[in-house]
Amino acid sequence: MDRELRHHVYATFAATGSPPSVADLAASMGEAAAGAGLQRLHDAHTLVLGGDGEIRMALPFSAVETGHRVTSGAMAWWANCAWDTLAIPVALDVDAEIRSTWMDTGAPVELAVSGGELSSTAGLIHFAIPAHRWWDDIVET
Amino acid sequence: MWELSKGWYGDRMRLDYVPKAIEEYQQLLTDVGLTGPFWSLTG
Repeated sequence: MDRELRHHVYATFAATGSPPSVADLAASMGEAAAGAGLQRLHDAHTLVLGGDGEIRMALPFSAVETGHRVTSGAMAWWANCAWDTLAIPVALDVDAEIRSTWMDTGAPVELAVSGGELSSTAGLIHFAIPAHRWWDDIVET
Repeated sequence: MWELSKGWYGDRMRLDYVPKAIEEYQQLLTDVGLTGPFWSLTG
């Protein structure tokens, strides 16, 4: 059941740009099952619940507005970080435009993904936190 | 990071997605040259 729940969360993110609400999940699968399933997926680092109990992240998707935006046709998604702007077109296997900001200059990042290739691989993504501590606070990461 | 993303996230939308073993994620980092203590997933 967790497999289907996880997939539903990701499919909803993909189709709408946002995750399903806990209320929507509870209506379709029952409140107890939704709550327990989401908690198991959170504990397994498969998704991230916010302090309000709603889905905050399903990496690479973000449920909240960030400085990192990926668009493909009429669809758009918020990415959690610079890396995730690359990961969203990969996960969805779509052509996409990436909009973000270079940390060092403040200039806009304008990249495109087409046919499974990135328009430019120049530039740096800064990782401030060692890999083994990424999940200590994944939102901060 | 583009190449790393393909290995890390390429299967994320699949119904039968299963997280990789930590050794597999570590290998993905190694494959793109991200090595050393900072990139160790186990500390």
